[in-house]
Amino acid sequence: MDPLLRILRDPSHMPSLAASEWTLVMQRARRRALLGKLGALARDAGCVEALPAAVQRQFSSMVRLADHNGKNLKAEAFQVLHALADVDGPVVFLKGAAYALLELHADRGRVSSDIDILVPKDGLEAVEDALQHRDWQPMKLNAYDQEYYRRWMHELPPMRHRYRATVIDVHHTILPLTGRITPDPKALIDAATPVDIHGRTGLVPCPEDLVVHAAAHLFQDGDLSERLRDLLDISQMIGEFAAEPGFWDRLLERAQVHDCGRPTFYALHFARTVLGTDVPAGVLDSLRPHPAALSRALMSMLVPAALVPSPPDNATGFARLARWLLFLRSHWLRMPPVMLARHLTIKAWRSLSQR
Amino acid sequence: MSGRLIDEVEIGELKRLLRAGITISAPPFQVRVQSDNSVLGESLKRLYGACRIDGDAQAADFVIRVGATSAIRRFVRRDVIALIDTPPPFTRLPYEMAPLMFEQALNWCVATRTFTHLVMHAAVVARDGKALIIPGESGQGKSTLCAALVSRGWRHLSDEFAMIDPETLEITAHPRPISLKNESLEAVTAWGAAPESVMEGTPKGTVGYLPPSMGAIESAGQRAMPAAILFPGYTVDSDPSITKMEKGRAFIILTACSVNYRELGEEGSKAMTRLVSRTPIYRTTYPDTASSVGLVESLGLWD
Amino acid sequence: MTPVVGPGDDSATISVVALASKNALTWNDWDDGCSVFNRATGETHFFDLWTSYLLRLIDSEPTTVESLARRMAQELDQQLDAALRARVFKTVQNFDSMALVELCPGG
Repeated sequence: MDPLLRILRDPSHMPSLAASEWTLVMQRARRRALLGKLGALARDAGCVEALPAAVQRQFSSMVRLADHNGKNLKAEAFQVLHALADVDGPVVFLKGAAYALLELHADRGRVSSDIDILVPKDGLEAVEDALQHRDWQPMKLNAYDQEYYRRWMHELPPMRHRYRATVIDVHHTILPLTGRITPDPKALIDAATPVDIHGRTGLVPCPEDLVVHAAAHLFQDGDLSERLRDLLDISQMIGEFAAEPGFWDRLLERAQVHDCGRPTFYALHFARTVLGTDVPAGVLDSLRPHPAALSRALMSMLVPAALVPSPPDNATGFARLARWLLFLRSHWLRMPPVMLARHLTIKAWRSLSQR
Repeated sequence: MSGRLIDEVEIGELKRLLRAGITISAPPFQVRVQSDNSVLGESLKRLYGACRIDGDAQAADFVIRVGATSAIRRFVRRDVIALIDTPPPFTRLPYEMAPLMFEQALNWCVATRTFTHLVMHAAVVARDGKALIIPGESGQGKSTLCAALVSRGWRHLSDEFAMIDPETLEITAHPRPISLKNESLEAVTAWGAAPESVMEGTPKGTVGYLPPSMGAIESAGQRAMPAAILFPGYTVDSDPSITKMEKGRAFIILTACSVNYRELGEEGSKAMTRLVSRTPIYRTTYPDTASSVGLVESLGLWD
Repeated sequence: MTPVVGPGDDSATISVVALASKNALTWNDWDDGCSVFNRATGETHFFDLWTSYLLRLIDSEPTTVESLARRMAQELDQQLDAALRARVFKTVQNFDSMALVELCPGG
């Protein structure tokens, strides 16, 4: 088995890796934001001291960075709330910011600098204005991309803070408006729970919505290339939330509410097969819509190869093919065919004319 | 310490090993380098002679590949770039400047991947276990002063980064080739030092290096407490002077010199506060290296 | 979008509140100023003595711009005039942009 998967499935195996294997594992992990997570897993498993010196050093640095990063994300969330103090309407922190605010297991060893928020669509303009007033600036996009973002995407073009260089993504729904699935942002906002942020109050999605959103983000929005870290987030959330009675029933319900049965199925299925996460068989069977047997078979073939980070500059032919096919799939899922054709044509033309 | 001293490896064999990849012990790190650039091979022998290599037996903190930017650049208008596992912000250099590219790449790795310490742009030397921190960005004179003190028997901890333990403030040594530029290169020859791998026409002018000594490498495991911070102040035709710097001002400047202050959050702030309160901080003015050394010795902190 | 506190507002009526909980600020005094770490924002600030004194007044309890100006004039033995009021108001606005304090209209 791939050594990286072996140690993610069971961190107590880490001491069994040879020193020379570690160098490559660390390289692959670092490229795909997994090094800190490995360090946190080693710390929790109590096996750090048995590892080679270089591994201990790098784990130590990344875990320290991640610990501070959690606090820095919370501080950035505070700045966002300060900027939006006079804007009416709920502000829900999503993804990595939510994990950090809730101090989830999934946040251990995790490093990210972007903040994602969800606000009601009719509040978008006020939010954008307020952020710009506090020195967030839209990142430079050409006119086509700007229009594409605003009309069809589920978020504003990202904004970067002028001095802090942190980035904020403002969403008004979970998946692109043009996609084949249309989740319900109002349902997410209504079920969101409050969290204290240095004396201010922000919102985060309920646990089941965190899982469904992560599943939608991984399997419905964007290509899967080397995003093992995102699957690990899902696996860790399941591991933590499943301890609460009634979690699985609520998860099925929320997947239904957001029309995300399919991506949730894939998330749970691959968390189980790739990472060994405990998922009751009944749950998988109950998710609707259930992907067809052919889709499941294809995905089972492509996803593991695509998800797992390759060595730098050295992806196998199959991994590359799998990633390309899944990349096509992601665009297919995001847009109706006519629009997809137009989008890809324009992108191809631009990249050719730039050579 | 295990592994062979680079100095004892015959140059042909070293280049051959380098093509497949070698792991150099550059304390406290293990650095894996792979390259078919001949200039780099020769430079490693001269600049890292006191360091050991260990084949595949060690896990590496960093992996740096140094090679041409494309297949054709291996033969025509040959150039060099460093590839690390995440894309670093370097621009390519001519083939002959591979040693500079390697030093830049390794500096980048240390600066962007170390969070166990507060990392500051500074040279660090020590005597009797007491360290002198000489802060400054590239070109502000820290390396020249560092080289001068080392030539007078001070212990060489680092010429580029002060790695400071945020709890205890102890400094971890990372002795690497001391980089000197332009006039400094000439100045050091005045006391008999012989810079190696001198490259002209680099983006920073003429650049050369003084290799770390065996002593510096062997003692690299010993940490040292800061006894003073001294800002270099080379000024043409000036009268040598040394004065205490206001602590508030020093706090601001040192924070600006720090590479990872922000990422360390509150821990970084506490460490910097403690460092500034406990350590005497000086600004200096001097017209030449000899007088700069005199100023350091005039502090009377080291006997 | 117009900011809540605009140049036309009567600065005297604005109330000023220390933003984060009392324990968010860590102060360090130096001879030539103060450094402040704000846990709520992760930012470190360096202020001269005048500015840090003003921030300390705000940190101790919610207050108004007018009241701050009066206290500053008193403590530093200065004239309470339009120039002092303007300086206090401007500084307080800077604190707001750093997310150190929150400004709201109305006494």
